[in-house]
Amino acid sequence: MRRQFSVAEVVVALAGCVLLPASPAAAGDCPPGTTPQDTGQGTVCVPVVDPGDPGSGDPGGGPGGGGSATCTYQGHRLPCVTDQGVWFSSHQCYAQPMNPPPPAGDSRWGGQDPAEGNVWRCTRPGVAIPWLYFFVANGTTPALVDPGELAQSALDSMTLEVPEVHTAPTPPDMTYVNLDTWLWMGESQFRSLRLTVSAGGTSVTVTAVPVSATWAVGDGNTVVCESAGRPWVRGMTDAAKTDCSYTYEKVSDFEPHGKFRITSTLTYQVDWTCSGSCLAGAGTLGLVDGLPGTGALRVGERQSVVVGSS
Amino acid sequence: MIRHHKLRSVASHATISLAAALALVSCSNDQDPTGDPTSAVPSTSSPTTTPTDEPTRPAWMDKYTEKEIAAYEEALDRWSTYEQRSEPIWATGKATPAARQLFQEFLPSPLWQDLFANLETYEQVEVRVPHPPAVLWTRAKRIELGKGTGSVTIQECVDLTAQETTQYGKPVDFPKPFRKPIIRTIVMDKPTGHPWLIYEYPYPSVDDFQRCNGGEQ
Repeated sequence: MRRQFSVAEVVVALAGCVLLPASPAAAGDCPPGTTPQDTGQGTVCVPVVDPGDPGSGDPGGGPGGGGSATCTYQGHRLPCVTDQGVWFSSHQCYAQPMNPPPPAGDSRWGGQDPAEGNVWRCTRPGVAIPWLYFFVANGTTPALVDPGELAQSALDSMTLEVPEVHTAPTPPDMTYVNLDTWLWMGESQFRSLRLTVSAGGTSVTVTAVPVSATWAVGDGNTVVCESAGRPWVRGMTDAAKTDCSYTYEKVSDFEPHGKFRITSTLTYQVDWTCSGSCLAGAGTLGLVDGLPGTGALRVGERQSVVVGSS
Repeated sequence: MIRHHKLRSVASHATISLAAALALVSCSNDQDPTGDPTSAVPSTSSPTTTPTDEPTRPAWMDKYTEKEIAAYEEALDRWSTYEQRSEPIWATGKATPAARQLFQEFLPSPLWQDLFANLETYEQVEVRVPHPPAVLWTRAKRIELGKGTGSVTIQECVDLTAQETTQYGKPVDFPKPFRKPIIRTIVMDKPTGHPWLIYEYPYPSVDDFQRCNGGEQ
Protein backbone atom coordinates (compact mmCIF):
# COMPACT_ATOMS: atom_id res chain seq x y z
CA MET A 1 0.00 0.00 0.00
CA ARG A 2 1.31 3.40 -0.85
CA ARG A 3 2.31 5.39 2.15
CA GLN A 4 0.97 8.82 2.78
CA PHE A 5 3.31 11.77 2.60
CA SER A 6 3.21 14.52 5.09
CA VAL A 7 3.32 18.07 3.90
CA ALA A 8 6.69 18.40 5.46
CA GLU A 9 7.91 15.34 3.69
CA VAL A 10 6.73 16.51 0.35
CA VAL A 11 7.92 20.02 0.91
CA VAL A 12 11.27 18.73 1.86
CA ALA A 13 11.41 16.37 -1.02
CA LEU A 14 10.30 18.95 -3.51
CA ALA A 15 11.86 22.04 -2.15
CA GLY A 16 15.01 20.88 -0.53
CA CYS A 17 13.99 20.96 3.09
CA VAL A 18 12.76 24.54 2.95
CA LEU A 19 9.18 25.17 3.90
CA LEU A 20 7.89 27.25 1.10
CA PRO A 21 4.76 29.34 1.22
CA ALA A 22 1.94 27.97 -0.84
CA SER A 23 1.02 29.93 -3.90
CA PRO A 24 -2.28 31.63 -3.01
CA ALA A 25 -3.18 32.14 -6.61
CA ALA A 26 -3.10 28.45 -7.26
CA ALA A 27 -4.70 27.38 -4.01
CA GLY A 28 -8.13 27.01 -5.50
CA ASP A 29 -6.82 24.93 -8.34
CA CYS A 30 -5.70 22.04 -6.21
CA PRO A 31 -8.01 19.09 -5.56
CA PRO A 32 -9.27 18.54 -2.02
CA GLY A 33 -6.62 17.09 0.23
CA THR A 34 -3.78 18.71 -1.67
CA THR A 35 -2.08 22.05 -1.47
CA PRO A 36 -0.09 24.00 -4.04
CA GLN A 37 3.63 23.90 -3.69
CA ASP A 38 6.21 25.92 -5.56
CA THR A 39 9.07 23.78 -6.71
CA GLY A 40 11.84 24.05 -9.20
CA GLN A 41 9.57 22.10 -11.50
CA GLY A 42 6.56 24.40 -11.27
CA THR A 43 3.70 24.84 -8.86
CA VAL A 44 2.24 21.42 -8.22
CA CYS A 45 -0.47 20.17 -5.88
CA VAL A 46 0.86 17.88 -3.18
CA PRO A 47 -1.01 15.83 -0.58
CA VAL A 48 -1.79 17.42 2.75
CA VAL A 49 -1.14 15.36 5.83
CA ASP A 50 -0.62 16.56 9.37
CA PRO A 51 3.15 16.73 9.71
CA GLY A 52 2.94 15.08 13.08
CA ASP A 53 0.77 12.28 11.87
CA PRO A 54 2.78 9.18 11.27
CA GLY A 55 0.05 8.17 8.84
CA SER A 56 0.01 4.69 7.51
CA GLY A 57 3.62 4.33 8.44
CA ASP A 58 2.77 4.23 12.14
CA PRO A 59 4.30 1.03 13.41
CA GLY A 60 2.00 0.96 16.39
CA GLY A 61 4.17 2.95 18.64
CA GLY A 62 1.45 4.19 20.92
CA PRO A 63 1.03 3.11 24.49
CA GLY A 64 0.04 -0.49 24.58
CA GLY A 65 0.77 -0.82 20.92
CA GLY A 66 3.38 -2.92 19.29
CA GLY A 67 5.96 -1.90 21.81
CA SER A 68 7.85 0.45 19.54
CA ALA A 69 9.65 3.34 21.11
CA THR A 70 7.85 6.63 20.49
CA CYS A 71 9.10 10.15 20.10
CA THR A 72 7.22 13.41 19.99
CA TYR A 73 7.22 16.48 17.80
CA GLN A 74 5.04 19.45 18.66
CA GLY A 75 2.80 17.28 20.77
CA HIS A 76 2.40 14.63 18.09
CA ARG A 77 3.58 11.11 18.68
CA LEU A 78 6.07 9.89 16.13
CA PRO A 79 7.78 6.55 15.74
CA CYS A 80 11.40 6.98 16.76
CA VAL A 81 12.65 4.92 13.86
CA THR A 82 11.12 4.77 10.42
CA ASP A 83 12.44 4.04 6.97
CA GLN A 84 13.45 7.71 6.99
CA GLY A 85 15.93 7.13 9.79
CA VAL A 86 16.16 7.91 13.47
CA TRP A 87 14.27 10.80 15.02
CA PHE A 88 16.64 13.42 16.40
CA SER A 89 14.75 15.60 18.81
CA SER A 90 17.76 17.90 18.91
CA HIS A 91 17.35 18.60 15.22
CA GLN A 92 13.64 17.82 15.00
CA CYS A 93 14.08 15.59 12.04
CA TYR A 94 14.60 12.04 10.96
CA ALA A 95 18.20 11.56 9.94
CA GLN A 96 20.45 8.95 8.45
CA PRO A 97 24.20 8.73 8.12
CA MET A 98 25.57 9.73 4.75
CA ASN A 99 26.66 6.72 2.78
CA PRO A 100 29.21 7.09 1.38
CA PRO A 101 30.33 9.88 3.65
CA PRO A 102 31.41 13.06 1.90
CA PRO A 103 35.15 13.43 1.26
CA ALA A 104 37.28 14.84 4.03
CA GLY A 105 37.30 18.59 3.88
CA ASP A 106 33.70 18.80 2.68
CA SER A 107 31.92 21.57 4.55
CA ARG A 108 29.37 19.05 5.82
CA TRP A 109 31.98 17.73 8.20
CA GLY A 110 31.94 21.05 9.97
CA GLY A 111 35.67 20.78 10.51
CA GLN A 112 35.36 17.40 12.23
CA ASP A 113 37.68 14.51 11.54
CA PRO A 114 36.00 11.84 9.38
CA ALA A 115 37.85 9.20 11.38
CA GLU A 116 35.92 10.23 14.45
CA GLY A 117 32.38 9.90 13.19
CA ASN A 118 30.07 10.47 10.28
CA VAL A 119 27.90 13.12 8.75
CA TRP A 120 24.18 12.60 9.21
CA ARG A 121 21.52 14.27 7.18
CA CYS A 122 17.97 15.17 8.01
CA THR A 123 15.73 13.33 5.63
CA ARG A 124 12.21 14.62 6.09
CA PRO A 125 12.27 17.21 8.81
CA GLY A 126 9.05 18.53 10.19
CA VAL A 127 10.56 21.96 10.41
CA ALA A 128 12.24 24.41 8.12
CA ILE A 129 15.85 23.43 8.47
CA PRO A 130 17.37 23.52 5.02
CA TRP A 131 19.63 20.66 4.11
CA LEU A 132 20.61 20.00 7.64
CA TYR A 133 23.77 18.00 8.03
CA PHE A 134 25.39 17.31 11.36
CA PHE A 135 28.26 15.35 12.76
CA VAL A 136 27.69 12.31 14.95
CA ALA A 137 30.76 11.03 16.76
CA ASN A 138 31.65 7.36 16.82
CA GLY A 139 30.18 5.61 19.83
CA THR A 140 27.28 8.01 20.02
CA THR A 141 25.59 6.74 16.91
CA PRO A 142 21.93 6.18 17.66
CA ALA A 143 20.32 2.88 16.91
CA LEU A 144 18.84 2.63 13.47
CA VAL A 145 16.73 -0.20 14.79
CA ASP A 146 13.60 0.22 16.86
CA PRO A 147 14.07 -2.17 19.78
CA GLY A 148 10.32 -2.62 20.03
CA GLU A 149 10.18 -3.83 16.46
CA LEU A 150 13.22 -5.98 17.00
CA ALA A 151 11.50 -7.46 20.05
CA GLN A 152 8.42 -8.16 17.99
CA SER A 153 10.49 -9.93 15.36
CA ALA A 154 12.17 -11.93 18.12
CA LEU A 155 8.79 -12.92 19.49
CA ASP A 156 7.66 -13.92 16.02
CA SER A 157 10.56 -16.30 15.77
CA MET A 158 10.11 -17.62 19.31
CA THR A 159 8.44 -21.02 19.68
CA LEU A 160 5.75 -20.60 22.29
CA GLU A 161 4.56 -23.76 23.95
CA VAL A 162 1.57 -25.59 22.52
CA PRO A 163 0.09 -27.27 25.63
CA GLU A 164 -0.41 -31.00 25.66
CA VAL A 165 -3.96 -31.63 26.83
CA HIS A 166 -4.19 -34.12 29.64
CA THR A 167 -7.29 -35.00 31.62
CA ALA A 168 -8.23 -37.38 34.39
CA PRO A 169 -10.15 -39.49 33.74
CA THR A 170 -7.94 -40.09 30.74
CA PRO A 171 -9.32 -41.06 27.29
CA PRO A 172 -10.37 -43.51 26.13
CA ASP A 173 -12.02 -43.60 29.54
CA MET A 174 -14.85 -41.17 29.93
CA THR A 175 -15.43 -38.66 32.67
CA TYR A 176 -18.81 -38.12 34.27
CA VAL A 177 -21.16 -35.31 35.02
CA ASN A 178 -20.52 -33.86 38.46
CA LEU A 179 -17.15 -35.55 38.67
CA ASP A 180 -14.13 -33.25 39.18
CA THR A 181 -12.12 -33.68 35.99
CA TRP A 182 -8.46 -32.79 36.29
CA LEU A 183 -6.78 -30.71 33.59
CA TRP A 184 -3.04 -30.35 33.06
CA MET A 185 -0.38 -29.89 30.44
CA GLY A 186 3.20 -31.08 30.15
CA GLU A 187 4.87 -30.07 33.37
CA SER A 188 7.76 -28.35 31.62
CA GLN A 189 5.50 -26.42 29.31
CA PHE A 190 4.50 -23.76 31.81
CA ARG A 191 7.89 -22.09 31.77
CA SER A 192 9.52 -18.83 30.79
CA LEU A 193 11.08 -18.47 27.39
CA ARG A 194 13.88 -16.13 26.42
CA LEU A 195 15.44 -15.11 23.13
CA THR A 196 18.05 -12.52 22.25
CA VAL A 197 18.30 -11.04 18.79
CA SER A 198 20.67 -8.43 17.46
CA ALA A 199 20.68 -5.99 14.60
CA GLY A 200 23.65 -3.73 14.12
CA GLY A 201 24.71 -2.56 17.53
CA THR A 202 21.32 -3.23 19.07
CA SER A 203 20.53 -6.37 21.05
CA VAL A 204 17.11 -7.10 22.41
CA THR A 205 16.29 -9.87 24.84
CA VAL A 206 12.67 -10.91 24.86
CA THR A 207 11.29 -12.75 27.86
CA ALA A 208 7.94 -14.50 27.68
CA VAL A 209 6.61 -15.51 31.11
CA PRO A 210 3.48 -17.72 31.19
CA VAL A 211 0.80 -16.16 33.34
CA SER A 212 -2.16 -18.41 32.65
CA ALA A 213 -3.55 -21.33 30.74
CA THR A 214 -7.02 -21.01 29.34
CA TRP A 215 -8.92 -24.27 28.94
CA ALA A 216 -11.92 -24.26 26.67
CA VAL A 217 -13.66 -27.42 27.86
CA GLY A 218 -16.02 -27.83 24.92
CA ASP A 219 -19.36 -27.13 26.55
CA GLY A 220 -19.02 -23.38 26.12
CA ASN A 221 -17.21 -22.78 29.38
CA THR A 222 -13.59 -21.92 30.00
CA VAL A 223 -11.31 -22.51 32.93
CA VAL A 224 -8.36 -20.23 33.56
CA CYS A 225 -5.54 -21.81 35.50
CA GLU A 226 -2.40 -20.09 36.72
CA SER A 227 -0.26 -23.18 36.52
CA ALA A 228 0.35 -26.19 34.32
CA GLY A 229 -2.13 -28.08 36.47
CA ARG A 230 -1.36 -31.13 38.55
CA PRO A 231 -0.91 -34.46 36.80
CA TRP A 232 -3.14 -37.19 38.19
CA VAL A 233 -1.30 -40.40 38.79
CA ARG A 234 -2.67 -43.81 39.51
CA GLY A 235 -2.90 -44.49 43.19
CA MET A 236 -3.96 -41.01 44.21
CA THR A 237 -6.74 -41.01 46.72
CA ASP A 238 -9.90 -38.98 46.57
CA ALA A 239 -8.27 -36.54 48.96
CA ALA A 240 -5.79 -35.43 46.26
CA LYS A 241 -6.39 -31.86 45.07
CA THR A 242 -5.54 -29.88 41.96
CA ASP A 243 -5.73 -26.18 41.13
CA CYS A 244 -6.91 -26.87 37.60
CA SER A 245 -10.04 -28.88 37.08
CA TYR A 246 -13.56 -28.71 35.72
CA THR A 247 -16.86 -30.33 36.57
CA TYR A 248 -19.09 -31.00 33.59
CA GLU A 249 -22.80 -30.55 34.01
CA LYS A 250 -23.90 -32.23 30.84
CA VAL A 251 -23.02 -35.22 28.77
CA SER A 252 -21.20 -35.06 25.45
CA ASP A 253 -23.51 -37.46 23.61
CA PHE A 254 -24.62 -34.83 21.12
CA GLU A 255 -21.12 -33.50 20.31
CA PRO A 256 -19.18 -34.57 17.20
CA HIS A 257 -18.00 -38.12 17.80
CA GLY A 258 -19.75 -37.94 21.16
CA LYS A 259 -16.88 -36.00 22.74
CA PHE A 260 -16.22 -32.49 23.92
CA ARG A 261 -13.32 -30.82 22.14
CA ILE A 262 -10.89 -29.38 24.66
CA THR A 263 -8.27 -26.71 23.93
CA SER A 264 -5.62 -25.27 26.16
CA THR A 265 -3.86 -21.99 25.37
CA LEU A 266 -0.97 -20.46 27.25
CA THR A 267 -0.89 -16.71 27.74
CA TYR A 268 2.50 -15.06 28.19
CA GLN A 269 3.54 -11.69 29.50
CA VAL A 270 6.17 -10.60 27.00
CA ASP A 271 8.73 -7.95 27.91
CA TRP A 272 12.00 -6.90 26.38
CA THR A 273 15.22 -5.27 27.40
CA CYS A 274 17.68 -3.63 25.07
CA SER A 275 21.44 -3.50 25.28
CA GLY A 276 24.04 -1.86 23.10
CA SER A 277 22.83 1.03 20.99
CA CYS A 278 19.26 1.52 22.17
CA LEU A 279 16.50 4.02 21.68
CA ALA A 280 14.86 2.66 24.81
CA GLY A 281 16.17 0.39 27.54
CA ALA A 282 13.10 -1.76 28.00
CA GLY A 283 9.54 -2.21 26.90
CA THR A 284 6.69 -4.63 26.74
CA LEU A 285 4.78 -6.42 24.06
CA GLY A 286 2.01 -7.12 26.58
CA LEU A 287 0.02 -10.33 26.89
CA VAL A 288 0.52 -12.72 24.03
CA ASP A 289 -1.30 -16.00 23.44
CA GLY A 290 0.45 -19.06 22.14
CA LEU A 291 -1.16 -21.63 19.88
CA PRO A 292 -3.75 -23.95 21.44
CA GLY A 293 -3.22 -27.61 22.14
CA THR A 294 -6.23 -29.82 21.59
CA GLY A 295 -7.81 -32.95 22.95
CA ALA A 296 -11.23 -34.55 23.32
CA LEU A 297 -13.11 -36.16 26.15
CA ARG A 298 -16.32 -38.16 26.44
CA VAL A 299 -18.61 -37.14 29.28
CA GLY A 300 -21.19 -39.59 30.48
CA GLU A 301 -23.68 -39.82 33.31
CA ARG A 302 -23.76 -42.35 36.07
CA GLN A 303 -27.16 -43.92 36.74
CA SER A 304 -27.94 -44.59 40.33
CA VAL A 305 -29.59 -47.93 40.96
CA VAL A 306 -31.49 -48.31 44.14
CA VAL A 307 -31.52 -51.84 45.24
CA GLY A 308 -34.37 -52.55 47.55
CA SER A 309 -34.30 -55.12 50.35
CA SER A 310 -36.98 -57.65 50.73
CA MET B 1 41.03 20.90 -23.41
CA ILE B 2 37.93 22.84 -22.53
CA ARG B 3 34.73 21.07 -23.43
CA HIS B 4 31.41 22.77 -23.65
CA HIS B 5 28.58 21.61 -21.50
CA LYS B 6 25.86 20.45 -23.83
CA LEU B 7 22.42 21.95 -23.69
CA ARG B 8 20.82 18.79 -22.52
CA SER B 9 17.98 17.50 -24.59
CA VAL B 10 16.79 20.96 -25.41
CA ALA B 11 18.00 21.05 -28.93
CA SER B 12 15.67 18.28 -29.94
CA HIS B 13 12.62 20.27 -28.98
CA ALA B 14 11.93 23.23 -31.18
CA THR B 15 9.69 24.90 -28.68
CA ILE B 16 12.20 24.47 -25.96
CA SER B 17 14.93 25.77 -28.18
CA LEU B 18 12.87 28.85 -28.66
CA ALA B 19 12.43 29.16 -24.95
CA ALA B 20 16.10 28.62 -24.47
CA ALA B 21 16.92 31.22 -27.04
CA LEU B 22 14.60 33.67 -25.38
CA ALA B 23 16.05 32.74 -22.04
CA LEU B 24 19.51 33.23 -23.46
CA VAL B 25 18.61 36.79 -24.27
CA SER B 26 17.46 37.20 -20.73
CA CYS B 27 20.46 35.42 -19.33
CA SER B 28 22.83 37.25 -21.57
CA ASN B 29 21.38 40.49 -20.47
CA ASP B 30 21.56 39.42 -16.88
CA GLN B 31 24.89 37.81 -17.18
CA ASP B 32 27.87 39.22 -15.47
CA PRO B 33 30.20 41.02 -17.83
CA THR B 34 33.29 39.30 -16.51
CA GLY B 35 32.03 35.86 -15.63
CA ASP B 36 32.11 34.50 -19.15
CA PRO B 37 30.74 31.13 -18.13
CA THR B 38 30.99 28.15 -20.36
CA SER B 39 28.30 28.55 -22.95
CA ALA B 40 25.76 25.80 -23.04
CA VAL B 41 23.87 27.09 -26.02
CA PRO B 42 23.91 24.84 -29.05
CA SER B 43 25.42 26.28 -32.13
CA THR B 44 22.08 26.11 -33.89
CA SER B 45 20.65 28.61 -31.44
CA SER B 46 23.01 31.34 -32.37
CA PRO B 47 23.30 32.78 -35.85
CA THR B 48 26.71 34.16 -35.03
CA THR B 49 28.20 30.86 -34.02
CA THR B 50 29.48 28.30 -36.46
CA PRO B 51 30.11 24.65 -35.65
CA THR B 52 33.83 25.14 -36.19
CA ASP B 53 34.18 27.97 -33.73
CA GLU B 54 36.65 27.20 -30.96
CA PRO B 55 35.31 28.22 -27.61
CA THR B 56 37.18 30.83 -25.71
CA ARG B 57 38.29 29.92 -22.24
CA PRO B 58 35.89 31.44 -19.72
CA ALA B 59 37.48 33.89 -17.33
CA TRP B 60 36.33 32.01 -14.24
CA MET B 61 38.59 29.12 -15.17
CA ASP B 62 41.66 31.26 -14.67
CA LYS B 63 41.61 30.79 -10.93
CA TYR B 64 41.76 27.02 -11.20
CA THR B 65 44.52 24.65 -12.23
CA GLU B 66 44.18 22.35 -15.20
CA LYS B 67 43.80 19.44 -12.80
CA GLU B 68 40.97 21.19 -11.04
CA ILE B 69 39.28 22.05 -14.30
CA ALA B 70 39.61 18.43 -15.38
CA ALA B 71 37.95 17.36 -12.14
CA TYR B 72 35.19 19.90 -12.68
CA GLU B 73 34.56 18.56 -16.15
CA GLU B 74 34.44 14.99 -14.87
CA ALA B 75 31.94 16.03 -12.26
CA LEU B 76 29.93 17.98 -14.80
CA ASP B 77 29.89 15.04 -17.17
CA ARG B 78 28.60 12.85 -14.41
CA TRP B 79 25.86 15.35 -13.57
CA SER B 80 24.95 15.64 -17.24
CA THR B 81 24.76 11.87 -17.53
CA TYR B 82 22.41 11.78 -14.59
CA GLU B 83 20.23 14.48 -16.10
CA GLN B 84 20.13 12.65 -19.41
CA ARG B 85 19.32 9.28 -17.89
CA SER B 86 16.76 10.63 -15.46
CA GLU B 87 14.92 12.62 -18.13
CA PRO B 88 12.61 9.74 -19.16
CA ILE B 89 12.00 8.93 -15.51
CA TRP B 90 10.68 12.39 -14.71
CA ALA B 91 8.89 12.49 -18.03
CA THR B 92 6.87 9.39 -17.24
CA GLY B 93 6.67 10.14 -13.52
CA LYS B 94 6.73 6.52 -12.43
CA ALA B 95 8.58 5.38 -9.35
CA THR B 96 9.98 2.23 -10.89
CA PRO B 97 12.75 -0.07 -9.69
CA ALA B 98 14.86 1.23 -12.57
CA ALA B 99 14.41 4.77 -11.28
CA ARG B 100 15.40 3.68 -7.80
CA GLN B 101 18.50 2.03 -9.22
CA LEU B 102 19.46 5.12 -11.17
CA PHE B 103 19.10 7.37 -8.14
CA GLN B 104 21.18 4.92 -6.09
CA GLU B 105 23.85 5.03 -8.76
CA PHE B 106 24.17 8.79 -8.77
CA LEU B 107 23.32 9.93 -5.25
CA PRO B 108 24.50 8.91 -1.80
CA SER B 109 22.14 7.66 0.84
CA PRO B 110 19.84 9.14 2.09
CA LEU B 111 19.62 11.65 -0.78
CA TRP B 112 18.57 9.06 -3.27
CA GLN B 113 15.76 7.90 -1.01
CA ASP B 114 14.47 11.45 -0.77
CA LEU B 115 14.58 11.85 -4.50
CA PHE B 116 12.77 8.57 -4.97
CA ALA B 117 10.14 9.65 -2.46
CA ASN B 118 9.78 12.82 -4.48
CA LEU B 119 9.19 10.72 -7.56
CA GLU B 120 6.67 8.58 -5.69
CA THR B 121 4.79 11.73 -4.79
CA TYR B 122 4.89 12.87 -8.38
CA GLU B 123 3.45 9.54 -9.44
CA GLN B 124 0.75 9.85 -6.82
CA VAL B 125 -0.28 13.33 -7.91
CA GLU B 126 0.41 12.78 -11.60
CA VAL B 127 3.21 15.24 -12.12
CA ARG B 128 5.23 14.84 -15.29
CA VAL B 129 8.37 16.74 -16.15
CA PRO B 130 8.94 16.11 -19.84
CA HIS B 131 12.27 17.92 -20.06
CA PRO B 132 15.12 18.99 -17.84
CA PRO B 133 15.62 22.73 -17.50
CA ALA B 134 17.34 24.46 -20.38
CA VAL B 135 20.93 25.00 -19.31
CA LEU B 136 22.21 28.30 -20.60
CA TRP B 137 25.64 28.21 -19.11
CA THR B 138 27.60 26.34 -16.52
CA ARG B 139 30.57 27.15 -14.36
CA ALA B 140 32.39 25.97 -11.28
CA LYS B 141 31.90 27.89 -8.10
CA ARG B 142 34.27 25.77 -6.05
CA ILE B 143 36.71 22.97 -6.84
CA GLU B 144 38.56 21.12 -4.11
CA LEU B 145 40.69 18.08 -4.67
CA GLY B 146 42.16 15.58 -2.23
CA LYS B 147 43.93 12.27 -2.57
CA GLY B 148 41.54 10.35 -4.80
CA THR B 149 38.70 12.58 -3.69
CA GLY B 150 37.12 15.77 -4.87
CA SER B 151 34.32 18.18 -4.31
CA VAL B 152 32.96 20.48 -6.96
CA THR B 153 30.19 23.04 -6.73
CA ILE B 154 28.60 23.57 -10.10
CA GLN B 155 26.46 26.55 -10.97
CA GLU B 156 24.09 26.41 -13.89
CA CYS B 157 22.07 29.21 -15.35
CA VAL B 158 18.82 27.49 -16.19
CA ASP B 159 15.46 28.23 -17.69
CA LEU B 160 13.14 26.18 -15.52
CA THR B 161 10.08 26.82 -17.66
CA ALA B 162 11.64 24.68 -20.39
CA GLN B 163 10.69 21.68 -18.29
CA GLU B 164 7.04 22.09 -19.39
CA THR B 165 5.83 20.37 -16.25
CA THR B 166 2.28 19.06 -16.21
CA GLN B 167 0.00 17.83 -13.46
CA TYR B 168 -3.13 15.84 -14.16
CA GLY B 169 -2.31 16.42 -17.83
CA LYS B 170 -2.35 20.20 -17.59
CA PRO B 171 0.64 22.55 -17.68
CA VAL B 172 1.55 23.82 -14.26
CA ASP B 173 2.25 27.40 -13.42
CA PHE B 174 5.75 28.55 -12.62
CA PRO B 175 6.21 31.01 -9.77
CA LYS B 176 7.14 34.42 -11.05
CA PRO B 177 10.76 34.25 -9.86
CA PHE B 178 11.24 31.09 -11.89
CA ARG B 179 9.96 32.50 -15.15
CA LYS B 180 13.34 34.04 -15.83
CA PRO B 181 16.59 32.12 -15.81
CA ILE B 182 18.06 31.49 -12.40
CA ILE B 183 21.20 29.90 -11.07
CA ARG B 184 20.93 26.46 -9.59
CA THR B 185 23.67 24.82 -7.63
CA ILE B 186 24.80 21.22 -7.71
CA VAL B 187 27.47 19.81 -5.42
CA MET B 188 29.29 16.81 -6.81
CA ASP B 189 31.60 14.93 -4.48
CA LYS B 190 33.94 12.08 -5.19
CA PRO B 191 34.46 10.09 -2.01
CA THR B 192 37.31 7.61 -1.82
CA GLY B 193 36.57 4.57 -3.92
CA HIS B 194 33.42 6.01 -5.45
CA PRO B 195 32.57 7.83 -8.65
CA TRP B 196 31.36 11.41 -8.60
CA LEU B 197 28.06 11.52 -6.73
CA ILE B 198 25.45 14.23 -6.38
CA TYR B 199 25.77 15.47 -2.81
CA GLU B 200 23.55 18.48 -3.27
CA TYR B 201 20.62 18.12 -5.59
CA PRO B 202 19.36 21.38 -7.02
CA TYR B 203 16.00 22.34 -5.59
CA PRO B 204 15.50 25.98 -6.54
CA SER B 205 13.57 27.86 -3.90
CA VAL B 206 11.46 30.92 -4.51
CA ASP B 207 12.66 32.18 -1.14
CA ASP B 208 16.30 31.79 -1.93
CA PHE B 209 17.32 32.04 -5.54
CA GLN B 210 19.86 33.84 -7.63
CA ARG B 211 19.35 35.43 -10.98
CA CYS B 212 21.94 34.54 -13.53
CA ASN B 213 23.42 38.00 -13.22
CA GLY B 214 23.48 37.80 -9.48
CA GLY B 215 25.81 34.88 -9.06
CA GLU B 216 29.24 34.87 -7.62
CA GLN B 217 31.81 35.56 -10.29
